[in-house]
Amino acid sequence: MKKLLSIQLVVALLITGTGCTKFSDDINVDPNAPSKASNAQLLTYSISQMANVIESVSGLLYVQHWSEKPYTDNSRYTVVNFDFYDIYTQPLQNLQTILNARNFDINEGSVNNQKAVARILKAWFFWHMTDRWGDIPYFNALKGKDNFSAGYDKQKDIYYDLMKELKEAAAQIDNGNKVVGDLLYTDMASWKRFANSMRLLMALRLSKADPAKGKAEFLDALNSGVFTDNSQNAVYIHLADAANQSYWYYVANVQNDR
Amino acid sequence: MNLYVKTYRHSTSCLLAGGRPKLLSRHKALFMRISILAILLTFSGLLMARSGNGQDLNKIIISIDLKNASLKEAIKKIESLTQLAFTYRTADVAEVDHINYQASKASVNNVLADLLQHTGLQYDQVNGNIVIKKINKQEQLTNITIIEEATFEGGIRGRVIDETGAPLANASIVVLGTDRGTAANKEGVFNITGLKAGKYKLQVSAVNFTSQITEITIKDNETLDVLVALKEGTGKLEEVIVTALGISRKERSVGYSTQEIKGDNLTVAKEQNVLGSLGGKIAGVQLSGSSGASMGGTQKIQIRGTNFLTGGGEPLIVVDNTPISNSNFAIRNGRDYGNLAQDINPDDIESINVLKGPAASALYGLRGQFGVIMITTRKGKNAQKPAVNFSSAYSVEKAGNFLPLQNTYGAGSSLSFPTVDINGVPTKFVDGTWDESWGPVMDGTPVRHEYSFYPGDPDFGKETPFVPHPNNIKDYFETGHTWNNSISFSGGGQNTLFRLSYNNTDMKGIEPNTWLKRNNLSFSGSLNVTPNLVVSTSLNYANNKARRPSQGYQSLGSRNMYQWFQRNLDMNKLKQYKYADGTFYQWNVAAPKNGVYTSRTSPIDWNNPYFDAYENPSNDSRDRFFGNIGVSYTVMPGLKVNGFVRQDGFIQNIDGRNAEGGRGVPSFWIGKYESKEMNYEFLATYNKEVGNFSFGANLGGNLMTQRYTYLRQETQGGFVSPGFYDITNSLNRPLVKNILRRKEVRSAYGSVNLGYKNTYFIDASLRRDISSALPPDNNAYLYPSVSTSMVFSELLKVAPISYGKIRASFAQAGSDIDIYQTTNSYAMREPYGTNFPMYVPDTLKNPELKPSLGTAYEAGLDMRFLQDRVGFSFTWYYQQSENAVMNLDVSGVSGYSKYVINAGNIQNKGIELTVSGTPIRMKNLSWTSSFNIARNKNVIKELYPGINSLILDQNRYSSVDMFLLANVNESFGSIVGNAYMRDTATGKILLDATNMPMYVTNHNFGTVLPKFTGGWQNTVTWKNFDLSAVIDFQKGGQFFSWTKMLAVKSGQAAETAVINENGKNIRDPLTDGGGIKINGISSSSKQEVTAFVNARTWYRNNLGTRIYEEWLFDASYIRMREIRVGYTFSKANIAKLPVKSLNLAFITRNPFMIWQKAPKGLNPAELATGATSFNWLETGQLATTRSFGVNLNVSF
Repeated sequence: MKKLLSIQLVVALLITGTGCTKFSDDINVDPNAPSKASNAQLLTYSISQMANVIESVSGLLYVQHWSEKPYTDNSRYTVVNFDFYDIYTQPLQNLQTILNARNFDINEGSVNNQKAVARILKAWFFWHMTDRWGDIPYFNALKGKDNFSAGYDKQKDIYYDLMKELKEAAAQIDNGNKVVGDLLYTDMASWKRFANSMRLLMALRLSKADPAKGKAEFLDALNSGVFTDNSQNAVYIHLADAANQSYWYYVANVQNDR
Repeated sequence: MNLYVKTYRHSTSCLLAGGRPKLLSRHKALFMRISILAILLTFSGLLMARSGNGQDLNKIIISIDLKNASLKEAIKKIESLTQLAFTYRTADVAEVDHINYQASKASVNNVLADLLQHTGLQYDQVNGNIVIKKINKQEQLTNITIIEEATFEGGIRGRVIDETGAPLANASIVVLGTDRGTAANKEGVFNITGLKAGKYKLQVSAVNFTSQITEITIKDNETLDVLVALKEGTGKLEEVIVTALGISRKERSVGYSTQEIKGDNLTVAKEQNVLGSLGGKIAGVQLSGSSGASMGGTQKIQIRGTNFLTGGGEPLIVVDNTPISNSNFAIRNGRDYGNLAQDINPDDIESINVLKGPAASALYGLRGQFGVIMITTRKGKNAQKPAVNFSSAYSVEKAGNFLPLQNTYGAGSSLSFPTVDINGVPTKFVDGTWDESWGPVMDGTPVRHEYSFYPGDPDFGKETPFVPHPNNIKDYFETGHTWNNSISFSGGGQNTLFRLSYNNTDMKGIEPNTWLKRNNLSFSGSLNVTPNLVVSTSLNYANNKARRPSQGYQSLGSRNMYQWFQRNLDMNKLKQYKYADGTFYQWNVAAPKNGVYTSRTSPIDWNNPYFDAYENPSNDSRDRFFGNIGVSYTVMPGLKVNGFVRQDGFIQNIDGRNAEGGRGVPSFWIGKYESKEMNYEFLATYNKEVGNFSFGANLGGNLMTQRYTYLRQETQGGFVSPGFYDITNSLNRPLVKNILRRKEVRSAYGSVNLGYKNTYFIDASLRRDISSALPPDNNAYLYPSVSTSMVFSELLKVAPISYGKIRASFAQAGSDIDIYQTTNSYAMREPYGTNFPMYVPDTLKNPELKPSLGTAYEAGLDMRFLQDRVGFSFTWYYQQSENAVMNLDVSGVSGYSKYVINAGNIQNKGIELTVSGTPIRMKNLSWTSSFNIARNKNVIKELYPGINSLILDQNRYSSVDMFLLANVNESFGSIVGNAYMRDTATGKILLDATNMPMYVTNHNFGTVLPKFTGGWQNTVTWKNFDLSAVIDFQKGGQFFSWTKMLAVKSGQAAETAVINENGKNIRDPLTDGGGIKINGISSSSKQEVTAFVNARTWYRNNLGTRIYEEWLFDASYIRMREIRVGYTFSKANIAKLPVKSLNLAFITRNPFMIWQKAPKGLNPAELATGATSFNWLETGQLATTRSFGVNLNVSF
């Protein structure tokens, strides 16, 4: 009896304390969130965030083009600071994740096409931000824990790099599979035109500040092919359900319907 | 040697001579033999009955010098020189006097022989006492009755006396380990028969005397003579306390601070959440609760201040060493479902021992960093008669502590009545869109009230006077009541213990349509299958069903009445909220066109409170089961092996709704929670005493598995079919949340303790925990502890000191990280058509996380004086908590806004003092008092390289922010927000051009933590009456009150309508002499300004909106927690009833606040809301609830 007990003792201890540090592989992997995301899904989300960026009403309220009830805080300039962090952490982080991916699924588009679309959209967001805030972190941004203190870069350097990105991305688009999860377009040629049109507009903005660069980029973009018709515009379409409705529709029809 | 035998032979022959001739003549020879054997047995028994200290009088050497001393003085001298205790009749020794005697290095044996020579006195050694008595005076021994039966099993006969030799009547004698026991008669004489041969322990105890345990040996058919002398004392033998992992230790050998509360102390006033009844009773342990209106709501327990960087850190709770969940599902703004410890039935509790820090809880490893609350439940007792206890309590609850409000001005924003066109006529009306009371004077002017626009209302179309309803908020609250009934059956025999108990609680809350019903059923039993194998179980089931009020800031619930309301609203009218035509009376709505509402109205911000109470209830119900099954096997004397299977599990459902006819889109939600924790435990214990050394060792292991699932569904977009509250009725795809959480921890631990001469003790323990939540390549951690104690009162026997212990310890214990923090995942968004967007979450997980670590040093002193009549316990501690896991704010530019890291180094140090005693102890009157106080100071030493400030919590209202920060080199929890801009020279407020106060942002107001906390408990007994009261207090600490701020902003608070220095109301126009007089420094001219300003602009637009400094209050308080006045019916009164004892008491909980610094209407002692860690923000406390009732306790 004593021998049996001492054996049990030793066994119990071995199991509990001294050896077994290995648990089943998935015990600490969060089962409540997907551990895999396809590039298509990440892309869809990024595109959906484009609407958030341009539909913000703060500016309209500030200049009193719009007013609201019953809470008039925004019209009275109660919010003084507007920050850009959400744009980095949400759509841009998604796009960077696509660009950093090691495995691409050909069913979601050719590697070049997936990367090109990500670069084009990334440029679109950064363009919006630099137009709005001027100098912003760009070259050292989106590096995760490798750089938590990215510095601000000059708007000129950002503009130059964005235009380079747009040119390269448009050239990168190949004849492989078109990207899946694309809410804007149904073919890759449209993306080429979108990239070039962006470059065209960016060049126009430089016309007073940097006329030489502006002129050169304008002509280059124009010759590479830009929008010729409104049907080629980049349009984000809202849906009828609450999750995908337009914020302006919500404000006008739902929030104030009392 | 000869002396003894001779004496006894004398006595025996005398016995035989003076005894009973009849018997003797028949069995003379047998009796002779028996008596001689008895003599020898007695002698040998007495020899064995000596305590382990071996008092051979030949070996005790003293030097003594007596000059003209009395024998009594001589004896006292010998006592002071040795550890011997003498017992004698004062009369006997008084005859011997004028002793001149000197002895140098002589044995006590010889000294006594010398002293007693020719005195007619002799001495006997009995159980460590020396009894001095007259020779040949046999009255002491002749009073022992000879056992009649000729043949019998062994027995004991004896006498119990006190130090003066006087008999102790009714002393209790129990043979431990058997069911034999008896009480001594008036002469202190007892006898016990029917004992089989063997070794036994005889425990003799009497009230106000220290019990004694004597070892005796019984031989078949022999009677053992025993004389037991008891010393005065508290009756405690060697106090034994339950320490970590359920290991029992002698209190004197424990080197760290623990404090025990007996079960009876927890049911004094029938508190609904058992943790709440610890409040004010243990030094360093603070209970901050929520209002009683939540019925068993949150009771947050904090030991030794805030130790965890992100503020969490609640202690582990174990019941009979089974860890149980104390989760809290409440949030700041919502229903307070309370913490799960409310499922424990206080009537089942034998004692609670609080292990206050890593020193005591190191044996719990990853779960012990913040202390452990060890609850031991009552078990059956081996008694001749089973015990049945019944307790019934009925109490009524009323809301109290109402915020003083003004009753002069009614709804609106200006002093003139607004008018609305009704059929072309401009008519004065009450504008429901104004949820403020800055309107006209309520002077009885006839106006169209909101209700007059509803066709279903009795006053439809009529103008009714605009008058105040000063008690409208008070009238909302009803009288609640609580029925609490419990019964328990306990008993046991030689091999079994049994206890079964049941409790039923039925509460009606003070808010309309709120209630709680609870049932507790518990069973504990054990069986000695063989003398070495014990099987035991403890099974506890609790069932809770409730409908609770909503707290905090939101449209649901009653709290908003202080914040946004109209003083003219009639609560009786609001109560008739449902009209016959299916519409609801809402007050916060705009006036209709043409004076009549033609459809259901939708309030802007606030529903009719009765609509919320009856149409928007939330139900919660829970089935809880926790318990254990165990086997204990004694391998050999001193070595025991235990195995336990422990479980704690619950299934809970919570639902809620937003009904049609109120604010917002109709919705319904339901949540299902399921949780199970299993612990498989193994523990081997070994104890041995060798000479002066005592040695103990424990070795064990534990496997813990936890599994928790949560499923919540909520309708979206409204209902397909109105009035059908079901998820299938959702207009859009329902929102679904589906969570699974799992964890496993494997542990091995051991401890060793060593004692020397029952005076010096040292203790060491080590635990290794392997957790599945930690990164797989680094998931095992070690937690050591060392503690020592020395009972110095054993070394220096100074008269007033009856006990003194000094202790010190060092320990490390940890706190596991949360699960799923080491790997990254993605997050999903609602689908866009047939696309399913996903995104990278903003928080970056960390595969290199470590558990947090608490390192504690502790030292303390426990002393008791005057035979334990008064004593104190003092502890100093220093505790360092490192590597707390926090979500560090990082620059979002990196792609992540938070990074999960180990950071922080927070130091706590403090002192705890408990002083308790019995100042009055007389025959009919006694008063026992216990006071405890604790002070904790903490400082944040470090956060993260480059980071000096961490936002712990944030509060935003109307675009104004207030933060709770952890700043390096400051005490924990600094409140930062808007403060008055002040002139640096005078400290006066700076005023702008319109004489309104200017403000600065980000002013640091200091810490929210208190300076001192403590309590005071008193018990007075006078004849059959008992009175007890518990007070708890706090000095320091601060909190921010939304309720007070908004009551002022909305023009409801009394101070917004006072009379000013001109004799006018401050709301009167400035031109009429109204206005509020203010004083400050003009910021432009730097001159002092005293002026009258518009009251509404001052209070509403400035103080109530931007100057948060006004609404920050000191949280100091002294509160009366519970009072009990009871009467125990005397035995004479209840002789005719089949009951053993009957006690009737008046009980009250939270009867009044003795003092508080915060203004009336706020309760600084009830700031705890749900799961939020700190109490710094009040967004809508539920009403203070006062409870008064009666409690009947009967035992059969």
